[in-house]
Amino acid sequence: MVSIPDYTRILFFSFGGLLLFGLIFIPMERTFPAYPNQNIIRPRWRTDLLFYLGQNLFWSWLVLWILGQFGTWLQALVPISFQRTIQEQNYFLQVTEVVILSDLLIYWAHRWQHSWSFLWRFHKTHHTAEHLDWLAAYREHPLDTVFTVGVINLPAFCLGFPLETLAGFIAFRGLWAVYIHSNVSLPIGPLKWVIGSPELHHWHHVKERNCGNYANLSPLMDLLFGTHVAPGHFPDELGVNGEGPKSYWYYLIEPFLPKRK
Amino acid sequence: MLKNLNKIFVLLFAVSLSAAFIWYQSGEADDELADSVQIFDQSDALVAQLTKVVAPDTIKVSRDSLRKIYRIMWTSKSSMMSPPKTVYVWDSVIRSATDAIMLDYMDSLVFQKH
Repeated sequence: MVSIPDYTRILFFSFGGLLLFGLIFIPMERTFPAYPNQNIIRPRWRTDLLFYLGQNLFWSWLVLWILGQFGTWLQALVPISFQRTIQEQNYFLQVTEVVILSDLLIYWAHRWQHSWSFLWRFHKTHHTAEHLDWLAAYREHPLDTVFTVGVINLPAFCLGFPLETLAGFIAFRGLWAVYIHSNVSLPIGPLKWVIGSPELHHWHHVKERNCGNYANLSPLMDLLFGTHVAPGHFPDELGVNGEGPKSYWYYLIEPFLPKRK
Repeated sequence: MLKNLNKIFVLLFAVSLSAAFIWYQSGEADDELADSVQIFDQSDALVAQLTKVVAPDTIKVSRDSLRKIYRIMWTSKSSMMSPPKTVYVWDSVIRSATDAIMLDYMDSLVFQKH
């Protein structure tokens, strides 16, 4: 049940987040554009705005509820003594473990989202964007979000990593996810072998379904497992083969429709 | 020269805002954790109250269980960039804990039963 003060806060955070990310990324996209001819108001931006608002105003409750159900159940499976051992480790060791563990998990879960047809039905929505920018990062089917958020967060919690360790990292990762979708080209030299970038992630969004670059923060997992793709420039075409633009509402129900022949 | 200055300014502006965002989110987590610890400190009294409305030994709410639920809800919230509705849920769970209806709700959150 959502009371009036709760909803005021929801609106504040949703529109405040939109404003903040706009303030961060719009000047970046204009100053360091990967695609100089792409405008801020580009085709299908309204669809992505609806995805943003839908996710923040409505679907996040579904995600919370599902994670709440599974989280406590999963965490109960891990002995408290093991969780305490994790919590007693050095802070920097904990942070390193969280980063590596979440990147490893998201790498394989992401590959799975592309290779397993059932998960691809939901994940495909995210790939239908033919123009990527910071707002396109939010184009996700709600059930795809449940899967992704669960994979990224729950294992670290089940193992007992303290909130203090995770809080800043979670905030950073949320920002990073938006950054790698943005229309920004910022060369980082040799660091490109250890830090991800919009260029690498744009190659993940080419029209081929199994296109590589599945890792999130760092390309190390892709390098390790042979899926690293880095031609040295941004791709020409993005989207999904054979898919044209559709409405927000159609994207929501599409995974449940019979397969087209 | 002016163009380069412009680029540096935009970059610094973006990095500063991003750092402020991360700092705010981390700070919010610390504040909420501090609040929750205060609530945890009252959990013995909470358990005592709970056992008044149900038979003793029917339900045991441990500090660890409470903390786990709080942490999972907080993370889910932050990951989604969504507002802290869960904090209100958490408050209502604690404040209404003596209400027998809430017991069912808490039970559904997989509290440890003994």
